[in-house]
Amino acid sequence: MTNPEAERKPSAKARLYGGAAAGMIAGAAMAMVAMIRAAAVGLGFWLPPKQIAGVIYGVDALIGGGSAVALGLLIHMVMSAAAGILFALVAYRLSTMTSLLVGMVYGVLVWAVMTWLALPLVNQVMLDRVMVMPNWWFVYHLIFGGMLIVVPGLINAFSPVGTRSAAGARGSAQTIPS
Amino acid sequence: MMRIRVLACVLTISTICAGGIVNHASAQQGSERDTVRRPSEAAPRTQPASPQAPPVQVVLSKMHALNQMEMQVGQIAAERGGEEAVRRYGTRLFRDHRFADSKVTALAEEKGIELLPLPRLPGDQAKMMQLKQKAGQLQNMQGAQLDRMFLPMMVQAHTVAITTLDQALSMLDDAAVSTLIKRVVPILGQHRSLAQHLQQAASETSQDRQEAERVTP
Repeated sequence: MTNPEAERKPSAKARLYGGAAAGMIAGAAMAMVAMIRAAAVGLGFWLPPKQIAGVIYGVDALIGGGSAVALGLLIHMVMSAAAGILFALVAYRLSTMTSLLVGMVYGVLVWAVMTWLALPLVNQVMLDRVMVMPNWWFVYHLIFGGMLIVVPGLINAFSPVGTRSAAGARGSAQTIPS
Repeated sequence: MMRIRVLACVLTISTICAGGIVNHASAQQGSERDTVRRPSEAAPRTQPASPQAPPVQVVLSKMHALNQMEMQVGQIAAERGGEEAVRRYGTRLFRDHRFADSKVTALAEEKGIELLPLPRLPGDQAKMMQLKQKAGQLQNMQGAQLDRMFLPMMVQAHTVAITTLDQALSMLDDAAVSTLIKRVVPILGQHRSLAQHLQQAASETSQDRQEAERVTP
């Protein structure tokens, strides 16, 4: 006697890989918007990753070179992947449209955690700078959350071939019971 | 379908709530910083400007003058600084102050305020005029000589700017200008820290060189 509910659940590996990939895609989109915005207002294209590198280099990251940029991007991608995994582990049953909405709510949650918990504790340099444009800082996280729309499709893509659902191709994360 | 409607409602409500607290968050950040940094609480309040120039006009004009001066010296350091780090610092200064100045001028325009040049501002502007003169001297320098004068000058200029703005904050009742000041002051603090770090690094390098010269026969 098998539990059909359990059988419909995508494997942990698929959720892990799918979540990480989705988080990185969402994080890349968020970073790109932030960097284009920083360049557009004249603060410099590479300022956002340098701000993130402030977690290691402190205020000196702001005048850092390639290493500060690379470190900032690395930290951002790792954090984005972690946030994507967390989302995929919890919200793996969602359809594409639902994951867009829930993803945006999740983005707001990430924004709140970053603003009131993470940045005050580990990166005051970045907090001071994002507070110059607080509305954009919020929008970046909405973009991150919205881009998690790709989670169901990626979980399906990382599921073993026999367990993928036809609906998965259309965006549902549900798998066919084997 | 029902689930999507519920989720849409949740999203809408959370976005509205979050949007509302974005500004609250930034205001709170500012007030938290106030309790830590504001030296003006202990210091006597500055005299309000003359009746001809309302405090908001004086503050915005001072901010504009400081931004203009720092953009000018930042550009000089970016082009002619000796060390790579000093040139990058110059670029950072230029960009940050250009951005801050765009906010100041936009706010002044919005309020219909004319930004006055330093000599026309009421009160004692001696420190700022002195800094402006030093900035003029930088134009004839380059390389290590420029670095030696530029970095202490930046520490001093940002200290003056932070003190001026902190004092202004205590006598202003304009929410928009106060918010702008609260957002700008921490960035000025970062500029001052960077100048101090670069100064320290430069003095360590020169000490190392002197030691190496002493050791080498």
